[in-house]
Amino acid sequence: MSTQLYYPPVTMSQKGMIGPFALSVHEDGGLVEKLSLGIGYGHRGIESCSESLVFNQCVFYSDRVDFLAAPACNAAVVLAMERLGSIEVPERASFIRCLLLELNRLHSHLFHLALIANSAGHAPLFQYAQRERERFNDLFEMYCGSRLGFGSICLGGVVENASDGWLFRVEQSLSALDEFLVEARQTLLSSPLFTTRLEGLAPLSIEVAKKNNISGVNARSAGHLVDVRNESPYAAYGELRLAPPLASLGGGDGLARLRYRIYEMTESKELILRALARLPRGNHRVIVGNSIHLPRGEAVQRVESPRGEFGVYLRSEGGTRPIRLKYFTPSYFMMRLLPELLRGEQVEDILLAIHGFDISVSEVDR
Amino acid sequence: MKIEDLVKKICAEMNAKQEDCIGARKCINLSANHFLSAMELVHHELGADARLIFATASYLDNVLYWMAEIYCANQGSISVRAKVDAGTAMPSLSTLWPHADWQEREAQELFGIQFVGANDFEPFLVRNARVQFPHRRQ
Repeated sequence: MSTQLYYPPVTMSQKGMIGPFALSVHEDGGLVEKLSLGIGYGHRGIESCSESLVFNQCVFYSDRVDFLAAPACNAAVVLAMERLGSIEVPERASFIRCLLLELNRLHSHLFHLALIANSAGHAPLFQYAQRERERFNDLFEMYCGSRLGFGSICLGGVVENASDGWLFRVEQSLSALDEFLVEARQTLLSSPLFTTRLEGLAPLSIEVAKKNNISGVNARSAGHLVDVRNESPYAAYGELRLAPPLASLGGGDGLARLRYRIYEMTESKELILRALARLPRGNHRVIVGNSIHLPRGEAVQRVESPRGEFGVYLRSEGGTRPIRLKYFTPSYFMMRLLPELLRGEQVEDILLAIHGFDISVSEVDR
Repeated sequence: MKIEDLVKKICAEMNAKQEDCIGARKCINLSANHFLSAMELVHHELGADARLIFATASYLDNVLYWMAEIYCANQGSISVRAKVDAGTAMPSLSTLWPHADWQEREAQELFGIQFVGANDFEPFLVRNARVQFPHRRQ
């Protein structure tokens, strides 16, 4: 006989810390029989509000779509506007954009590791991962004043030129990250605390991933090798020659997702080093003005955010404001699939599984 | 099938018009009653490579339309759109791409577009909104 448990909304103040949403679980002998989701608690109407803002303001508002991937949100909006307005960006700006996007990926994945450690009850690893993440927060603060990189990528380039001192600090942080990754691999991938709980947890098959437009690490670890940086390179990714996604890390379960995220951190580190080695001299921005007019038309821009394929649809009718600014986010599609993927899992593993999918609720609600 | 050929086929068979787009995108404008057949053709001809990356409502010269953007690896993307007439419902794409349902649900809630063949969803983003369809222009 099945019973029903009511979970209160998982809020920012609780252990989950991924945003407010509600879960209602029907359980049967400790296993999830049916799960219902309640979202929309953090709906801010960003798309609707953007229609009353000038283009430049929309860029800064886009940070709030996913606060953990602010540079990726900025990049999607900015690239769509630049495409529509045929704005040429200096080469140095494109490289700095890649640097910022990859630093953000590292920062976001470290936060993810901290959450996984926290849900599995490994407090020391939670603290170590947060300590490493702080290094990247410091880098963003040095660069643009915001510890999460809000407003770092702007229309016409990037908000600040990268000083030699800042680039040196980036290299230093990457060396420190190396040591942490060795530790994290040993702790996470060999400790039974993680492996026994994550192995076989909420498996995602390649067919389900394809059918439901799942992207990012969740899809790649299931064998669906989609990566916007490879498919349609933007900024300077075409010149940085990112290696194709690895099929050998596939498996689709919680452990495969974790393994793939750690691999991606090494990959991001390599990309940053490559960008640093090839960073050209010159201007970091072209001035486009505060009330830029974009021509009538529309543009779609996809970028690879830390959570997957993040995109923007922009429509202008020739004024200073967009007629429509639509965000399509990876967590939205992932969240939709949760009830299906968590069916049959143990009730106590629900939060661990949700953290494993790296869902950002602020992205779902917008 | 290549996207260029597919666009020509849809334009010829369904009296659709191709619009100018930036980059490798192809945009097709057609009537609401041809929308589902066009999408079925796209799904069939492009096969497993075709991904519905988003579906949304938007405005063009103050006219509300519903559009779906399909991306095909190594080929680019195709955008199929249809004007939403007052009182008519759009066909649901969830039989072709299951994840279309939440996007339709959002459009139903924010723009007031009705969908035929979709699940009967409750509002989920703005349950307590004072305005019935917050994104819809009067």
